[in-house]
Order: sequence, then C-alpha cells, then structure tokens
Amino acid sequence: MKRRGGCTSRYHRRAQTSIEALFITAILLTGILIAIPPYLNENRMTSAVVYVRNSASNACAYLNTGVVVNGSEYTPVNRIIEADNYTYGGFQVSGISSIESADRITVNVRIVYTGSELPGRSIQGNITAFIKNDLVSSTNVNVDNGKLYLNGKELEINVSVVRR
Amino acid sequence: MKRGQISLDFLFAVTLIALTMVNLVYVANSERSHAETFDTATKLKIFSVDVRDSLTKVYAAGNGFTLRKGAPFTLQGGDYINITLSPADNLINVTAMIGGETYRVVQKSPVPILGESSVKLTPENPEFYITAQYNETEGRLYVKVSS
Repeated sequence: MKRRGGCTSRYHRRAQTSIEALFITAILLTGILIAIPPYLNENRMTSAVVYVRNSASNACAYLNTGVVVNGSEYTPVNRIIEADNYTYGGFQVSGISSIESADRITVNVRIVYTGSELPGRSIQGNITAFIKNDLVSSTNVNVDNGKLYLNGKELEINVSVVRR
Repeated sequence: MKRGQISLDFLFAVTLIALTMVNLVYVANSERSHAETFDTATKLKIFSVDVRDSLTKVYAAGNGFTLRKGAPFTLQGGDYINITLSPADNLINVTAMIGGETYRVVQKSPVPILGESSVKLTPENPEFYITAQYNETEGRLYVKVSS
C-alpha cells in the first residue's frame, strides 16, 4: 500500500514537472516570437542602409579613380567617366538617410562632386543603375519587375548628385 | 530539463547571431570583389600619371634623353599594357588587359605630342623607353615611347 502510494506520488510529480516545463517553454516561445520580428526588421533596415552606402561609396571610388574597366557592371559609371574626359571628379557620399513604411524601405543617398559640371539627370540615373546592379549581384537583394526587394520588402533608392 | 531549456534559448540566440553574420558576409563579399578590381585600377592610374610625368621630364631634358620604365606590376600570361601617345588631342592612352578584364585610362599630356607612337608591354617584354628627339628640319622636339 505504502509502496503503491509512493508510486502514484512519483507519477503525479513527474506529470507536474512536465506541465511546468511546458509553461516555461511556452513563455520562452512567446518571448522569442515577440523579440524576433522587430530584430529581423531592424536587421533588414540596417543591412539595406549598409548595402546601399557601400555600393554608393564604391561607385564614388571608381569614379574618382577614373579608370574604365570593361565589364557590364561598370557600364553605367563608365559613361560618367567618359563624359568627364577621364578627369578627377572628387565624388563623395555626403549623406544617407532612410525612411521605412509598411511595405517599403526608401534609402536616400546624397553625393557631391567638385569636378567639371555634368548633366545632373543622366549622372543620377547612371549611379542609381550602378548601385542597383551592385546590390543584386553581390548581396541578397533581388530584383522583380525592375523593383528591388530585400527579404520581401521593397527597397527604393533615390540618388541625388549635386555639384559643390 | 534545465539543460534542454538552456539549449533552446541558446539555439535562438545562435540563429539571430548567424543572421547578422550572413549579412556581414554579404557586405564583406561585395567589398572584396570591388577591392580586387580597384587594386589594379589604382595601380594603372598611378602608372599613367607616372608616364605623364616622365614624359614631361624627358621633354624638359631635351634632345637624346631616354628614360627606361617598367610595368607597374608583374604581368601574367595573356596580360598586356598598351601605351599610346596620340597627337590629335594630346593624350596619353593606357589600355591594359589584366586577368581577362580590360582597363582604360587617359591622361592629358602637359607637353606637346607631335608624332603618334605606341608600345605594348607583355610578360616577356615588360620594359619600355621614353625618348626625346629633336627634328632639325621642323625645329621641334618629339617625345616617343618605344620598346
């Protein structure tokens, strides 16, 4: 009798522990579910800005070097170098800002240069094209119908080039 | 049970860190691919500036002065650097084929280039000369590149 009672109590305790464990696991999972989406969001936002900034500063470095490399990824920036007669343009990224809305991330890049005056519209288009190509070829940004997507969210890049 | 609980936390932490790492790897990868091209491009740019300055030096030194120059880096099989002095717009054109990619850089010459001359640097022949030659009949100083 005594032995049997001991047995029941042990079973009872075991069941109790597993419910505790379940509760703890549930709390943990809830916490994780709360913590992960903002983390991923922040992560995506930071990567978007870092990627765009990197590509923009690469474009500037390339333009400042003034050496035309014959590769399809460099075609847009080569046009700028050729229009500029291979002279030093003094391009630099002067600022970057980002706006996040429900369905898209907008990254604004501001580039200034000190070289001879170049037609603003085409230079902006060419640098934007270079940044887009670079993002698609070397990061996890993908392109669909001419729009860029980063982990399911649309990524919009605005480049403004100003002569100082 | 306690051990299991820790490993669950830990697993999620590792996942988040791994995500950040993947992003870092993307950034590093894009940087590396650019750095490789950028390295050669910069060397060629410096080389073109060096050629321009040497040209000026040779022109200033006058008739009969010769300068020997070499390729800016060791050329591998199939690579070449082509230097052309073009009198039409007074330009120094440097075109190179390095590792299957072509590079092109142009410098404006500060001294007059009167005759067109061109030289091709190859792994077997990586050196060239810049010479100043006075043309008596024209009374002008020609600068030339030759192998």
